[in-house]
Amino acid sequence: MKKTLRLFRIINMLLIILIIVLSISIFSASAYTTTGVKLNTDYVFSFVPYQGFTELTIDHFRNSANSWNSAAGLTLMSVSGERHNATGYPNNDNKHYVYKETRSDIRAVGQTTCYSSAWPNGNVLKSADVLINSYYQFANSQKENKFDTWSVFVHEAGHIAGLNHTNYTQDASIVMFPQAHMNFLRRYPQWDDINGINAIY
Amino acid sequence: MTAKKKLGLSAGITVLLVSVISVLVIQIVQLSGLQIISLRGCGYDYPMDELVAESHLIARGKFVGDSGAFIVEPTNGADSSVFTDYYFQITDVLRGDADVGDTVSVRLQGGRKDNLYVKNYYDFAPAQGSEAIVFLCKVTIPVGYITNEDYYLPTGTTTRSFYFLDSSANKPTYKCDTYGIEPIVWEDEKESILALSDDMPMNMSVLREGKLEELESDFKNGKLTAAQYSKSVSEISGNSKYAKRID
Repeated sequence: MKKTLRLFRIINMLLIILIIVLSISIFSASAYTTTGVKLNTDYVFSFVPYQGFTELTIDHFRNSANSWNSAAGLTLMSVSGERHNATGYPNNDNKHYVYKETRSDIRAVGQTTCYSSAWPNGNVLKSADVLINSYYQFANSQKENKFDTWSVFVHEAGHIAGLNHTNYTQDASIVMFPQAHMNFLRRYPQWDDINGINAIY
Repeated sequence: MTAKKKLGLSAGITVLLVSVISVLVIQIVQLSGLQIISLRGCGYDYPMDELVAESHLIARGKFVGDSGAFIVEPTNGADSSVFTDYYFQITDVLRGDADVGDTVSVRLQGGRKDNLYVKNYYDFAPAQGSEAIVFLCKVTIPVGYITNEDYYLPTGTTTRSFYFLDSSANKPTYKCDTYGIEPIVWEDEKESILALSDDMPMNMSVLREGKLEELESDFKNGKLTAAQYSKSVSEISGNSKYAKRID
């Protein structure tokens, strides 16, 4: 009798440990990381797209900005009605350009350059530029051998908002997943992205 | 405590406080002039066949040192940036024009030089002494930050292009693209890379000679007019088109 009770106690103890381990793995999967530099919420960060982007692509940029705004419950960013014809990404001119350049020297599909100072206000973004690297092939939809521009831009906009790559690497649909995939859509902030943006603002 | 002792103590405290304040002011002056440029982005999760095709050199070896940070000034009007060359000593060649024992330079963006501090968040600097299989490409057409020097870039982001191996020889670590799920077994990797290397042609379009040949062929086939051909050739010709390295 005593032995059985002891056995049950051990089993129950093991079960409790198992429940704790499973609960942790299910409920504490948040893995967003932040850059430590956030947007100044006193004004709206406005992207100026390159004139060579189609209106559909620019609509997709706008949707990307809006989806982060919705996730944060704030108007953090927008897309300007202006267009630029500049080349020479990146440029610290406080113009927030979205560039489209064929840059075989940059081994990334999309890239964001953020400018900040060490002191004072080191945690507030001063300016940023985005590159859509046309060394790689893009489309405005899910297509074989092409990257969806919306999916790449929403990721870059997430960096500007203050999010780094997620550590949760089991779900490629998370916007802040580190790698881009062809023939794949990840257009809207997911649970981990939303947790991250709400932790910042 | 005598008055003399009190005075001495007070003076000592004053000197200490002034020293602390001076150190803080110097720090603030240095930091206020420091420009921080943070690079983030998303890399392409190259499947192995494309990774091999895009690579001009695939080798096993060891990172043995680095150049220290230097500035590169592009000619396209973009901001200058900071780079570091990492020296990689080759112990086995799977693809490309290099020999065992050669040391090649692998250039990565990032580092601090003077008042410019470039933080590269999507690539990581390899530690000295770390052993890896590296997938490297050469870009010799003058574009962006490319200088007219002999060096390689990682083919994709470093997480995709550097497969780190344990320093104690063939003990497996994990394939970067599987995020710690699938272990690397060197002999299997080597066999599959060698097989792919035989099948996959190299991407020559990022090499100056390859690009010139491509343009000439397009001109001969009527894809480019004489004016277009001449303009394209002049865009990739001449040393002045390359970015400038400032040590």
